[in-house]
Amino acid sequence: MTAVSEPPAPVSAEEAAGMLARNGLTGPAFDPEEVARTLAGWWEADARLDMLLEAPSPDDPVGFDPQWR
Amino acid sequence: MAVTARSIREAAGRLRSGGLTASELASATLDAVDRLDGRLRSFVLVDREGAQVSAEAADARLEEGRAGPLTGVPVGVKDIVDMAGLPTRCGSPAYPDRPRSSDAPAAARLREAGAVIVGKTTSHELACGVSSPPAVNPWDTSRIPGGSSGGSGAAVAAGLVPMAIGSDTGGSIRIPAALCGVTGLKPTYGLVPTDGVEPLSWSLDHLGPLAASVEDCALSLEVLAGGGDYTAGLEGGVRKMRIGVLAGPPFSPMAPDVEAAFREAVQTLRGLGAAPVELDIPELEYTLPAEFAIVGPEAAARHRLLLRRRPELIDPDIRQVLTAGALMPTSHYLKGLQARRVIRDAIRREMTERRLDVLASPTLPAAAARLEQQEFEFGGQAESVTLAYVRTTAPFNLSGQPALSVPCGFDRRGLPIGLQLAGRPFDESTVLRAGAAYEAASDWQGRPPPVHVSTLAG
Repeated sequence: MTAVSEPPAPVSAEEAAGMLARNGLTGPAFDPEEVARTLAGWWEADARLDMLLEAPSPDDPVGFDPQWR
Repeated sequence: MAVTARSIREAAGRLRSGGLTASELASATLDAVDRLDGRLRSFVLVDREGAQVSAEAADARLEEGRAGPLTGVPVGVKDIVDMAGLPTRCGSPAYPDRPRSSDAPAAARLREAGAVIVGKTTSHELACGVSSPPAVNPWDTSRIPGGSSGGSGAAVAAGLVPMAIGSDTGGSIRIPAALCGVTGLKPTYGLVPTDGVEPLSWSLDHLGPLAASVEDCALSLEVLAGGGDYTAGLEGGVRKMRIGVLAGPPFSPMAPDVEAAFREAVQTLRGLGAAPVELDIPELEYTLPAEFAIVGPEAAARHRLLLRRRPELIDPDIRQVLTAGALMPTSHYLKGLQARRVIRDAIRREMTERRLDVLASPTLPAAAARLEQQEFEFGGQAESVTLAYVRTTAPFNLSGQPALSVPCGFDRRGLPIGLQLAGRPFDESTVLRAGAAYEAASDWQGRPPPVHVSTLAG
């Protein structure tokens, strides 16, 4: 299986506020701008994982070990 | 000098010979904690009454000749491990003072072995961090002891107890072991049960000992794992042992003093007859994104109610991790799990194809950071203290392999440096044998830090 590479998805503060509200994370402890910045970093990490997973891997979870076949 | 236990072996010998009773040792240990721990803050709770009761029971066992290696030996337990009758606070103001109703299996096994649990050691909040405030490092009290099992590392380094339990999700046993100059073992995933232990990330959490020596780690593992013989082969040496010497990311960059100490340690192992093999596993470069892709969602799932209802009680940095873990799509977590398998298989491939017995690296790329320090600088590049410490230890949380940290020198400021040795799953014996051989050939282990029980009069 080859992972489909997605571009990093920067999240605006407005979008972060919506995500927080949908997940019940409300109140002054959650600053949407700060959360948006944090999520940007996590999306970068997500893109890095794509770099590892894009390479054909012997770890295909739906494939079979050739020696088994 | 205060009467405390320098090592499990030494304490067991004195207790069995009748030169010291468990009650005397417990009293001396409690006294030393009273006098020294105001400076270290390595214990968050001292169970004076429980320790005395356990010590009396241990004395009875010793008299009856029913003693094991840990009978009567004072130990500490990280404050994320449940103990009946005591609260588990996890370094968090959100956790109640309500006593827990039962022992976690690991704590129960210590009690069954006759160990005297002195109290609960300081954990970084929710076991999610590398500094463990308010605990400090006995080598320099203006520096962190590491984390998240920082109290356990500081307590052992200061000679208060010869062993304390820690947990390790991304390095939390090995980080404080390296920074405090003691020995720490993260066993194979699942070997020591984590039931009754507050999870950070259930698929990465491990439980194990921080101790005064490799032998003490082995003795402790025999109890914590509920069996197994990890001490029998300790003196077997490393002759013809093939050791993969890890280089490249995430093991670079590192501080020059760490690199020098590590190279010297490899030379020592070579001198003992081992065969070092230089090794770069490219997949390990993705350790940090894989680790956090798993820790974030699992920790967020665990703490979802706390995050929703009382977020103000969570440290802001940890709250950011939990919030991101809650908001990132499921695909991110799944990629983390997939990457974990790629990384695990890459390590297995290299160890199998190159016929390696163990892998060696510096435990950490730098010695203990200052309490307020946020970043290291390697070759002009800034790196967060947390990420720098986790990148060299987390590969073996992802793979689940056993990994040991043993002292391998000091930097120019006199701060300890650790050597990390990792082995095949459930092959703790080989890892411990390599660690014991190195320890015996070097003289780093057992040096007392400036804050140590040996400095106490009478």
